[in-house]
Amino acid sequence: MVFYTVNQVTTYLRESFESDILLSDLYVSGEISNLRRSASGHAYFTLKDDSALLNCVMFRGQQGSDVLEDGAAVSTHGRISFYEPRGSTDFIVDLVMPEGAGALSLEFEKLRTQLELEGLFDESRKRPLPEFPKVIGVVTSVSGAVLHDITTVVTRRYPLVDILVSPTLVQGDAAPENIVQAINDLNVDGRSDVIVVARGGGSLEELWAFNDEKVARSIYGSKIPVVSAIGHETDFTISDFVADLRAPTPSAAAEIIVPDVINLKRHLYGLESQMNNIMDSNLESIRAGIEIINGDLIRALPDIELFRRSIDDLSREHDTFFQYMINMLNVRVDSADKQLATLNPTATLKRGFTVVEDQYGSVVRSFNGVREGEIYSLVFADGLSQVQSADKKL
Amino acid sequence: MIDKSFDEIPDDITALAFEEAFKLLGEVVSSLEEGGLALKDSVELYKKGMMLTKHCNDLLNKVQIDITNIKEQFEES
Repeated sequence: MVFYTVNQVTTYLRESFESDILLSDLYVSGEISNLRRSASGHAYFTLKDDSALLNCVMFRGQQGSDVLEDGAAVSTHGRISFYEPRGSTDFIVDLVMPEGAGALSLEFEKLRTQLELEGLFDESRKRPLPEFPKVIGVVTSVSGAVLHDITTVVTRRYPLVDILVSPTLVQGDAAPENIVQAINDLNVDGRSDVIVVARGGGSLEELWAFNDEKVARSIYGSKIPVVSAIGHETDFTISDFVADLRAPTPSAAAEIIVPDVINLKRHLYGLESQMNNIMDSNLESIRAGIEIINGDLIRALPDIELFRRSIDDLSREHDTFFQYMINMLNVRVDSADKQLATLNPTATLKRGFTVVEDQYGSVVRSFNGVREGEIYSLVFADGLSQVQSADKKL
Repeated sequence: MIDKSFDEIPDDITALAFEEAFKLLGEVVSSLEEGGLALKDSVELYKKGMMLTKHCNDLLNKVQIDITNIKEQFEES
């Protein structure tokens, strides 16, 4: 027989509870009563049913403590422990939800809180999506409408992108591993600019794979930005919180990820018009500039017209003057001509006079120039005759 | 801004991906808007701009997207 101390027993009790697999991770539903809050903010209450009760404590800041109220039917999660100083068995509650939430909901809330605390959902770590993706990686089931919806939207909006499908199971126990592998494959391949993790609508159970912790961490660790498009618009999974962007549906994801060719074409057309307008106005400016220079040039030049007219006037004056000069000369020439005519020896000759030339052709003007017996020429108007001088008489 | 040497505009515009061509086009238009270019240079830029526009439109006129299954690729290699 061994006598243990009280402390030894209570320690044993506490340690037994804490090492018990069930008691250290327990879901309990029941009704709340005797709710009171201490000054420190912790909540103390009992959780009871028809025949039994558990003494509970919920420390300040735990998920759902606002649900606590007397008479409320709740689902809880926590662990059983033995509080040695008072010798009481306590249910330490870390999560409370209204009854009917179900184990999955509680599980969801638990993981959500935990990962949020770790920072997996932080806005600051969410990466921007590429504006013009070249390759889109799609993690989804190859059967089903999801892939088809995505490719239809992408083909319509932005056909120059390539799609790389990384197939996976999207529900069931094997799904989480599959999804993790699929995301990893795309990261290893490296060509994708963005990844879409997509699944059609379903119940909480059917979407459950996307609430898996491994899947969440795989999305968080993806080097390539991830867009989640899981279930319907009202479905939110842990994957949605971790992703760089959540889309309400797979089609919506496709619309968010790629630009619309219609808008792009309109923009291109606008740029084209802009360029044309700029060039037109450039050419217009140049033309106007040339006009101005032309105007300046014209003004800087002397007035040719004036010169022309001056020349015309001058030449007319010249003409008049010359004409006058010419007339004068003509008059003089005429009178000279007449004088010449009278002085013309031929006319004298014609009157009967002759010119006497000696044998050397010199004209004999005087009686003294004549030698007897010499040969002389008598020049008539119409010819000459050679004569010999006979007698000289005075 | 594209300076007069047009270094950033490659000779083979048709080899550019959409994003690059589209961004380059934006810069060309900005440069033209800013003005101050000699006529010869602005005409050159304008021509390049038109070629970029055509290339972008050509890319957008693609009709079908290419879809590949990554698993099949792995199996092939």
